[in-house]
Amino acid sequence: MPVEQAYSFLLSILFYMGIYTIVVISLNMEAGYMGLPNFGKMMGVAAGAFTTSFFTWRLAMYLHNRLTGEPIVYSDYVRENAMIVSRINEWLSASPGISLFLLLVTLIASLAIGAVIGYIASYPAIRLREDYLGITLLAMAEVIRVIGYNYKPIAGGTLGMQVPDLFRWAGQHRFSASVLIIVAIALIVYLVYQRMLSTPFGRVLRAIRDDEEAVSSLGRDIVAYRKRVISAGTATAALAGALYALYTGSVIATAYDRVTWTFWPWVMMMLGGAGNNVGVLLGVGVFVIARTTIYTYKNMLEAYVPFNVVWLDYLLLSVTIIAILMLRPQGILPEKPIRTVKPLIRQNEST
Amino acid sequence: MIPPIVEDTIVYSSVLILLSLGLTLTYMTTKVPNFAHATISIVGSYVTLTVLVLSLISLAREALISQADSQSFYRLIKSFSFAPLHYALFMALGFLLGSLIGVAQYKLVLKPLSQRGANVVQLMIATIAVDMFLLSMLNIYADKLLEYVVSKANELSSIAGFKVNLGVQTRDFILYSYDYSKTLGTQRLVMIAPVMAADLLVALSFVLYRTKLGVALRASIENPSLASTLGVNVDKMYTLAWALSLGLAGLAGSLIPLKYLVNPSTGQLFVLSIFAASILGGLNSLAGAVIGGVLIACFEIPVFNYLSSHLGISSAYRTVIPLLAMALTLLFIPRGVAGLNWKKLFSRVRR
Repeated sequence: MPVEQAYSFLLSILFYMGIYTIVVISLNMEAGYMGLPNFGKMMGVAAGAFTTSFFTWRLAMYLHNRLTGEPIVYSDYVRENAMIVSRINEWLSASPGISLFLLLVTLIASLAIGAVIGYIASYPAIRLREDYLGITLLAMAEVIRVIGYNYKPIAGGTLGMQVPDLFRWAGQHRFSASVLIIVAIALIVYLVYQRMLSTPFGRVLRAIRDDEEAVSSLGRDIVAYRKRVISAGTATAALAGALYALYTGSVIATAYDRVTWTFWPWVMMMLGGAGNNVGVLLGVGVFVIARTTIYTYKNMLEAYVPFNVVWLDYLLLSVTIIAILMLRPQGILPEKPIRTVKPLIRQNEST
Repeated sequence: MIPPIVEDTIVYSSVLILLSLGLTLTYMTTKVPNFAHATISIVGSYVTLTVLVLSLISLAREALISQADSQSFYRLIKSFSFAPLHYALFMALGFLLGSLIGVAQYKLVLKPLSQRGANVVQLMIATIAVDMFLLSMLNIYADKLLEYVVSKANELSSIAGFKVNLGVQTRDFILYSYDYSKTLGTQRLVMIAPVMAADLLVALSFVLYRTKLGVALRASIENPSLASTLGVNVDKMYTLAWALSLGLAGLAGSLIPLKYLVNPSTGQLFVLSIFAASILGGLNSLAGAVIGGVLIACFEIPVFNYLSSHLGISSAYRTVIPLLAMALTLLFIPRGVAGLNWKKLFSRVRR
């Protein structure tokens, strides 16, 4: 394999690992730690992507018009969106400061919108049993997608929408720079979650998963925890959605489907080990490398598979998840007992 | 002459009743919402398509043996319409195939998993995996069937001496024209669907409430451990319930392409309406499922039609309607229509 090809292969693996780490680590808090069946994970990702497609270029255009004094003229902002975005891109390519500012604002906006959408979507079933909640979240995610697909100002409807390129200032290193930023953000998310879930908060979540009644008898408000977790989880997934949209440079509602953004994250989580963040990282790694390899060598596989290779993926994944559930439901790296400081102190006291 | 909107409502509610009835029955036995339910019914749709393809091919071959010229050949192909035998054949095969898949799903996936101590969330993700598996199988089948149709058409072309085209698609297909009856002035489905739904309802309630088998089945649902101490084979009863439920789904699915556009992933959208109907009915009552099916069909067709023509809402948002109904049900009557205390409600109104 030539060096350039190998480099782009590596880059795409890193990119997907970064994006999926953010999604799966938040799913792990919801499902792995708390036992909350979020079958609407794609909702968060779509929320982030739609925030980006709706909001970022409008803000960028506003800044462009104010700062350059040459307003962009257009009549139909959905149809002429490609023209507007290419003009914005030209302007942005010379101004890394504004690009990074826009990136920051977009990420914050996605977090906020994600949190709100997660709250609203789970509200009808938040007090009910987990199967009802799972069905509701799955359905609500579909609503978000239907709206994104049909309401043109959000994501351009069937045609999709361009997104300003906030990494263009890096010139020929555009992809390397953006992947670097995405991986850095994923790392931050990972560390924040790892820290957050090793506090008493994380322990309460596990306790809720294991025995709701016992936890509520100890005075914890389970519904409040559920609301908090689903909002935080959806907000985090929205971060991934925004980054994905910014990296690929466009948003189309059909790209946010149940398989890619709900089912795959579940497979990664269960593969690595639900309730164990290191396991989740491992799951994401194994999954992304396997998929990217299959995708890259698709043409070679075609000779051996008697049907369209696209479906091989689906078949393998569905069989994999059932196999995991049957043979090793705890995943590659099972959840470990909680490490606390207390037992150490007690040991010291007794000695 | 029945107005089209009434026809649509009748057919849609009959299909929805059959589907939500099955979903509710399986939920009552294993307490898992089966996300693969709708995709299994689409297997039934492909049974209908296969029956059509095979009959068209044999018709074409007979016509060519009697040395029809291209004009009379195409007139014959165009005038092909399902005979009573065809309806019986694809409904029976749909039922059979659906129940086979249902039994396989219960015996090979859900039962072993729950014996291994899987929780509800794990069982739910397993049903999503089954959905994904069937989805890819359907896609592969659609490809293969198209290949078969093309190869047969080529074979027939070489016999005929002119280009034979059977006019069959295996994706995004609708079989409306084969179901149209000149004497009725409309589709036969308008008669068949409600009659089938009513007959099956009567048969099912007879079995459930008038036979020993039905008593055993209901006992295994209400209290499995007590039923098994009284000598009921609970596992056998559950298998029966799954066979019946997904048989109904397969049968309903075999009717779907006569009126609605079908492709392998149609189930992914259909499943939301089915869940909405079942939840509206309370997820724990078969009568509720029937009422839920009718209500959701009414919300989706006449009510939504009224809204879209008077408020100008785009028809693309139809998917949102069942979900809205579901969310409102969960918020205000989480136990569904069947859980309402009607006597109390009426006495309150009277006062």
